[in-house]
Amino acid sequence: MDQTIENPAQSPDGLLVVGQVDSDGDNAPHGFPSMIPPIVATVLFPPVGLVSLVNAVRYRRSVREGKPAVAQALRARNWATYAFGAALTTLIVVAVAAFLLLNDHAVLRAYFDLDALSKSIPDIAGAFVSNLTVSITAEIGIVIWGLVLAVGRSLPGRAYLPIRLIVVGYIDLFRALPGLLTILLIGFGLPATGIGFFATMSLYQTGAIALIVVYGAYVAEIFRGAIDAIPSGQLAAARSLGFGYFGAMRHIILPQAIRSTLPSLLNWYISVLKDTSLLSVLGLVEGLTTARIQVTFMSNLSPLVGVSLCFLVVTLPLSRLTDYIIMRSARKRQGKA
Amino acid sequence: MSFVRLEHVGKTYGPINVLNDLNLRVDKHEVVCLIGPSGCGKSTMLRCVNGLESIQTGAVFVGDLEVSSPIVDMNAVRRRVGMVFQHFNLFPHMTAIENVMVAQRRVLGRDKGAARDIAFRLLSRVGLSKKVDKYPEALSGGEQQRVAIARTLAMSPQALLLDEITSALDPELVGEVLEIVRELANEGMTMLLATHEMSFAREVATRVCFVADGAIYEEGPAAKILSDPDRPKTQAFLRRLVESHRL
Ligand SMILES: Nc1ncnc2c1ncn2[C@@H]1O[C@H](COP(=O)(O)OP(=O)(O)O)[C@@H](O)[C@H]1O
Ligand SMILES: [Mg+2]
Repeated sequence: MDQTIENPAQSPDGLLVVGQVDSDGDNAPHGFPSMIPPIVATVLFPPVGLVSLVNAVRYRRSVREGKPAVAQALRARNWATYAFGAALTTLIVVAVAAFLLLNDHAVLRAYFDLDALSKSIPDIAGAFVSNLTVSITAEIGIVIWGLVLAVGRSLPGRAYLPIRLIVVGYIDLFRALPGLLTILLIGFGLPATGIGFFATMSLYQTGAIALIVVYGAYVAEIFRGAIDAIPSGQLAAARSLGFGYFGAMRHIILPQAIRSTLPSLLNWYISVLKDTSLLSVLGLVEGLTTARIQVTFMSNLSPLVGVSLCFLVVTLPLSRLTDYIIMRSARKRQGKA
Repeated sequence: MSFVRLEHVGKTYGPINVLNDLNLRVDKHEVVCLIGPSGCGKSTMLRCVNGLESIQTGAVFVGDLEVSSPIVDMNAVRRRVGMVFQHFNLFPHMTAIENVMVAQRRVLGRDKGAARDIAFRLLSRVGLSKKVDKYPEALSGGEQQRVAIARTLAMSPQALLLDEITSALDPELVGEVLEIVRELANEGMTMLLATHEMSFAREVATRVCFVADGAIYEEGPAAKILSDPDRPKTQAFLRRLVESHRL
């Protein structure tokens, strides 16, 4: 790394220097590494800013002395980048902080009243368990129902045409309606039928059924895409071994299809969990309803922050997990190629 | 009575006539090679034998079962005739041994231990006893095709349909797969195979059929068809092979 740059205008990676050295040669090159990020960062966030400033100055001096070292140039550029990032982060943090503190901490007090937060959170968390229970029950039902619909839609031959048409109609219908509307239709409709089985259902059960009906349609399309993506040779191989159509689906095609949809299913679970708050229209006491009652009660928005935290505790790790699964399968594919 | 019989078979894909009054018989212990330019209908013929394709006219029999009958037990037909594909079609979510076990367990209802024993014996037979727990993606093309053969043999078929099983392989891997087919032929397995490997056909075939226009255009002993055919299209096909140094 004690290599030197003959002409600073032609750096090894072509990024170091973009400008030309002045004809008399004793000036630092124009352009990168610019002094502006280090200077701005020194003002906004000195710990990083100062280091970058020192490095930039050193590099300039070495250029002026006619022996700029590559290592030094790289260091100067790296620190200039850090300085830029640090300056930007500082600006954002300051802006957010200013917003919270504005008007004598009005925003901060409205959203993050620790007293209100700690008082409301036990009730909210207790109610949020309903969201979790309903969403998990619904998700299991959604996966099964989605699979049934997807297989129904993939049935081969003319004999199954009516079934295919019904399934397509169902999927189109429930994807075309607002979820809230379907929830109202099913949640109030099922008990109103007067049929004993439905009439005695709890709000949890009708709510879960409503979510299954809506999200089953979406998840069915994901499964269908995954089934279609499996090479036709897989079905031919399974059939030639004596598997019937449904046996081949169950043991050969669906296991592969489900595997490839795992990240999508996790994403849809996040949507289902979020939409459990819509079930409050049916009268289900869930996290968000409880939080809203507390808001009225306390004249403070902190309970909403509390219920946000409940959702985030579940959804954020799931988002990361989804990304991780996608990344891992992408790496696997690359490793194979 | 021949084991496999195709009688006056006609098959169309929309307006295209793929098979045209095709007649073909394969006796027990015979090895019949189908040769012909690509697109002449070899794969389609094989797929009609185990009912992967339906036919419009004529009849297909396997033993005493009429494959083309609407009331045939198709799964019984497929248990009798195994098929090996050009692109292996192994199940990618299963290891080699699971590939060989799954149909034994789910179709034949064998218990896990018995299926595993049979699978291990067959994989050893095709020289893969050390790779039983590998997934297909970790195996070479030749190894994958050998697993596919073991998977088919695990169903104890009475005949095999082999559809250009070496044409997706690198040249140096062709030998290991053909060696297994050669052994099966020596053991008296009934086989109907589509192939581009003329020297192999010459070696194992009891009969070679040249396919053209969706039917058997000329057939006879390998020595005759591959060296001195009587009819012009067969002669032209062989001439082209010689010119491209494939014979
Ligand atoms: N699924 C299909 N749909 C339409 N045409 C097909 C289909 N499969 C095969 N064919 C046509 O049938 C003919 C015979 O194909 P194939 O049996 O695969 O020939 P070969 O195996 O001898 O190369 C070809 O012309 C091909 O284009
Ligand atoms: Mg073919």
